[in-house]
Amino acid sequence: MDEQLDNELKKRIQQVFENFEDTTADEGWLLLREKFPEKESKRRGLIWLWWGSAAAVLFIFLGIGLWYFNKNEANVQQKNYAAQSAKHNKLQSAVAKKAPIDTVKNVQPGQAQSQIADASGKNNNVEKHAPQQVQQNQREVASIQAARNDTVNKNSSRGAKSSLYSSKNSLIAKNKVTSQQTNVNSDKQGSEKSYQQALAGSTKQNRGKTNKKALSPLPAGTDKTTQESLAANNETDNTNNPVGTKPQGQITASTKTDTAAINKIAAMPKPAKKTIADMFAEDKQITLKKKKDDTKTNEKRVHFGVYAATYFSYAKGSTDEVNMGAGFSSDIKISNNLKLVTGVAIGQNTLSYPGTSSVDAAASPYSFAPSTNVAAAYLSYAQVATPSIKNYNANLVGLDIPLNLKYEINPKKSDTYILAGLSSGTFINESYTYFYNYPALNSSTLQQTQGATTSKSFNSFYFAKTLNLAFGVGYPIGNNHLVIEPFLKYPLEGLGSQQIRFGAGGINLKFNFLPKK
Amino acid sequence: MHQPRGMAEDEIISKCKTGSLKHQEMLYKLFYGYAMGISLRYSLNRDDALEVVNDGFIKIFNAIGNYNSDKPFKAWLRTIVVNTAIDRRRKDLKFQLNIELDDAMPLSTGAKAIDDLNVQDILKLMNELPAIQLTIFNLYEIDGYNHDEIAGLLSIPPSSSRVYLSRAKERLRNMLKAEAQNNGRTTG
Repeated sequence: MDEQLDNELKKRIQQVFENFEDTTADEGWLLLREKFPEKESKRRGLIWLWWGSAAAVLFIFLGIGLWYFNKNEANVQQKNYAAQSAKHNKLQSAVAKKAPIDTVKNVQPGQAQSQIADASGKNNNVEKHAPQQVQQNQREVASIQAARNDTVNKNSSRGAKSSLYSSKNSLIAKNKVTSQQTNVNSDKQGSEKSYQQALAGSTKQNRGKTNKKALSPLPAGTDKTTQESLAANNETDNTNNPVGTKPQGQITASTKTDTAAINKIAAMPKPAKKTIADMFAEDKQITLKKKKDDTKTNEKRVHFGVYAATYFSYAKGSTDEVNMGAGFSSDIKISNNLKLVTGVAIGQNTLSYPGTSSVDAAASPYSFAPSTNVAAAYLSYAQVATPSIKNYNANLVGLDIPLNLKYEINPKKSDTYILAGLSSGTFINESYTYFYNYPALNSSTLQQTQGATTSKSFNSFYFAKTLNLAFGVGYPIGNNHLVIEPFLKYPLEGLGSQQIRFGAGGINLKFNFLPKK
Repeated sequence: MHQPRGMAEDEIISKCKTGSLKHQEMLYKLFYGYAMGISLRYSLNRDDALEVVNDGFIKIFNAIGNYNSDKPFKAWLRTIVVNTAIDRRRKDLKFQLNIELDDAMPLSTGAKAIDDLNVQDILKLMNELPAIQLTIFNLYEIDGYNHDEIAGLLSIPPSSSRVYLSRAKERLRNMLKAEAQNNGRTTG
């Protein structure tokens, strides 16, 4: 008996609420809009703020890196000459033999060897000729130093001038930009204000409406109103349909009469609204128009994106160094699943080769002929006085132009893809720094001095010498996509003026701008 | 419902995934009645129900990218609205778990035979139930949750869920019987 009652009640509740209709959807939507767009705009604002700050940090680091790099280069050159001249003075007083440290430092390894070989050839007269050679060396060093100091001074003065000029320009540019920005901002603020005023007006109106009309049929926060409306409703129900007399087939009819009763209470003149059917018809027309346009644009569709990369540069013998880069990319649609991806990226590649000395005295090529006493003496000197490379750093700021094929795994459902291709490019700046250990002859301890830095800019263009492999997963952010793309760059041949085979592996954080539909 | 269904529903959902505000509005209006029907059963009043519906739709719009279109949208919507309503009433539910409930005779609902009960009658009847009983009755009897699921949702033991359900049913039965007697006296 009880179970039957329970089941009947359950069925009735399900029937009533499954087919529940409510006419206050428009008011409900307006109330939702008070929360929902604000949230969206806030979130978008946060995203842009995050991206802006990330980009700013990236550019600041890049700028500082380049500035530091350029400054360091000039300092290193100046320091080298100063350190070397001091060294020479010391050596002049201590050594009677020719010690071509200066030339070893700046000259190519082959030349250095030949000079050393010359020196070893003159071993018999070493002590006799020593003072003359020292004098000659002094003259050479002085002349070279004077010439280089001139160029350094010229360069520095030019640098100062140009930096002043550029700072002036940047200030002018900044002022222009800020004035433009303020104009834009004021325009934006104006439009936002007017939009907010309009919205406030509409919401006020709607609130008025909802309070007056729509929310009145059911308890809008107050039970009294509900009871009153219910009482009215029940009275009509009781009079027209006494308990137990109503047939079961009229269930839906009764619910409709109920809603009709609610509507009567709520019945107030409402402004003309768009029904869903109208919206559908409107939407169909728009989509038909758009389809025509889309078929044209689809064929030529190109998507652009920007990305920041963090990666490890690796090479045989080098320690892995963390580097950063940034660039923009464009995706050119070939077929539904296939895209051609190209763009330009700037990235730094730092390599550090610790400990391996190419000018190791023990393993030096001139250690094979210790036939005479003089040669043995020279060898003992060479072991003590020849500089050995302690460390070797390569720093390459590269301009990378990738040409990749991107296969999207399921473009309709997700933004997941694999990518492969080749990279070409050049190096904006290549610098190779050698750190030598110069032995101090008076003491047994080694004295370290920074060695030479050679740098080149746009030395050569390499074509398809790096293999690119990547895998990407995208997440929609509004109309755009945020893509996380782990990648690997594998060197097919040596790069740069030193032909170093180096690659990179890391993660690209990509922001793809999709055209608005 | 006066709205087109089937293909149109899928189309609206797919457009909502692109963030189209217009299609979000269409989706809202298409399922507003259905969502209100669920929300009203769990809420104290109509304002509460509307806020639950709106909060639920905001969740839907934010997470619609993760919605699997192979599964029925209504079921997903129902789950979200139910969870939102329970989250909103969680304070009431916790409070009522700790107090002894008096079995005072309920107020008159003006109810009729079960088949004649309309929306207001049912809501009036249900609002006589304590929040915890109302929630468990709705979850188990109307929305098809089992006691283990309810226990997980409300952080109570499944045995408590059974007890509250039987109390809710008993209370409803008593109310209906009392009303039937009252009506019998007045008509007789």
